Amino acid sequence: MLIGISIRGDHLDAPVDLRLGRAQMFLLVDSDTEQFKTLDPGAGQIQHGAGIQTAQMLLKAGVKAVISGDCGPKAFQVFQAAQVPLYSVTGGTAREALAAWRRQELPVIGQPGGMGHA
Amino acid sequence: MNPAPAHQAARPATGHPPWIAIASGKGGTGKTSVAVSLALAAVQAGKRVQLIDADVEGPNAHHFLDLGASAETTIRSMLPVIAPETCTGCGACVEFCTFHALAAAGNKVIVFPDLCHACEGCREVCPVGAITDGAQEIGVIRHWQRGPLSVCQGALQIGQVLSPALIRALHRRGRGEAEDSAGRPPDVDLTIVDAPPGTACAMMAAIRGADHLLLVTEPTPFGRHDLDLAMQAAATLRLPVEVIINRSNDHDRVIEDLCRARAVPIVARLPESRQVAEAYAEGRPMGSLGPPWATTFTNLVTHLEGLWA
Repeated sequence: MLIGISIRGDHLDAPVDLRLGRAQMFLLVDSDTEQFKTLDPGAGQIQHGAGIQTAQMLLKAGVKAVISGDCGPKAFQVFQAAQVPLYSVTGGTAREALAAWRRQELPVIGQPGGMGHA
Repeated sequence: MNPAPAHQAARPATGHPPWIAIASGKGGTGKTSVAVSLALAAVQAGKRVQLIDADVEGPNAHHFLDLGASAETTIRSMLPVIAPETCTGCGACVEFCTFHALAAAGNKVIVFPDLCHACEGCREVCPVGAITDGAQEIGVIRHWQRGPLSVCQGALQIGQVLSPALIRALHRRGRGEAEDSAGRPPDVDLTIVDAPPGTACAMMAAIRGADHLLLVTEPTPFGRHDLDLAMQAAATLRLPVEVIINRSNDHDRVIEDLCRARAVPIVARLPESRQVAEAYAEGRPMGSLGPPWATTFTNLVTHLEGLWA
């Protein structure tokens, strides 16, 4: 299954970007093969609705789970409607996050954090 | 980009009394003080005046006037409602929405009301007619009638972003074009619109359709800079412009140079004074201070009358 991880960099040993809506980059990892590709959300420049855009892009890419630090209210709503679970980490690399997810140690984000932007 | 000089001011179209907008570009130059003082001077001159406070994110003209209780109307704006059984999830509406107020989640479409600008474009582009009009409350219009003075203000609901839509509703009411009960056109000789600061969408919505624009500025580099922007904004709407210098002092030159370059007349100067600040703090407009302020506004009313005589 395809997992989206927000990162700062472009490989599995890059640190997780704790912001979802304005993440620098996403790693799309196939959890069966550990093969990955990158997805540039290009959302850093968007004034409004960056989280919504990013969420839609990840869904379009076919992710079935997302690992990030936090999730704003609007992106959260999009993932919830698509029934894609969000997992939270507080730091570390994408590889570490993936390993923790496999061990089922990552908490599910059950409610949006942050303020988002009105 | 030069605004049309004021002497080209056309007589307003038959049947509608002069509609004057007061704006500034820079905030805090004294738009509201000027608007209220001008309205009161026009009342003194025997006119029936409508004062529209279009600074919907912070209407405050009423603080300078002893108005009593207001009547209030809720203003609503279009919000897309999507019929899930009709929607095919094609994403045409999501693609169309510049403001990302619509999002595709799988084959569902979600609406984010606080991002919607009520342009109705999504409804137009939906190929299967799955989008209908809902309504969201964007704010209220309050109005007061006190003798010959009619005051109305728009107050945007907190968290709302649709200032222009609320301002358009204020204008419709002011022109007697609104359908609801608040839309009864007050019988007036003159309308004065107090615009919001800046030169963005809300300010443009407030000055649009005016017969004449008065720009209030102050003799500072910031005042000059934002006055220049406001003049350019007015030029895109082809509005005749005149300038009022508030807090006039021995730095007026900075404004005079710009006005000369743009061929825009300076029609009034209000001297910088502690007296004005003290009156402001007590909720009294500067026009109530006697000469030279009171006389400046009396003269301004005469000047405006002359434009359409």
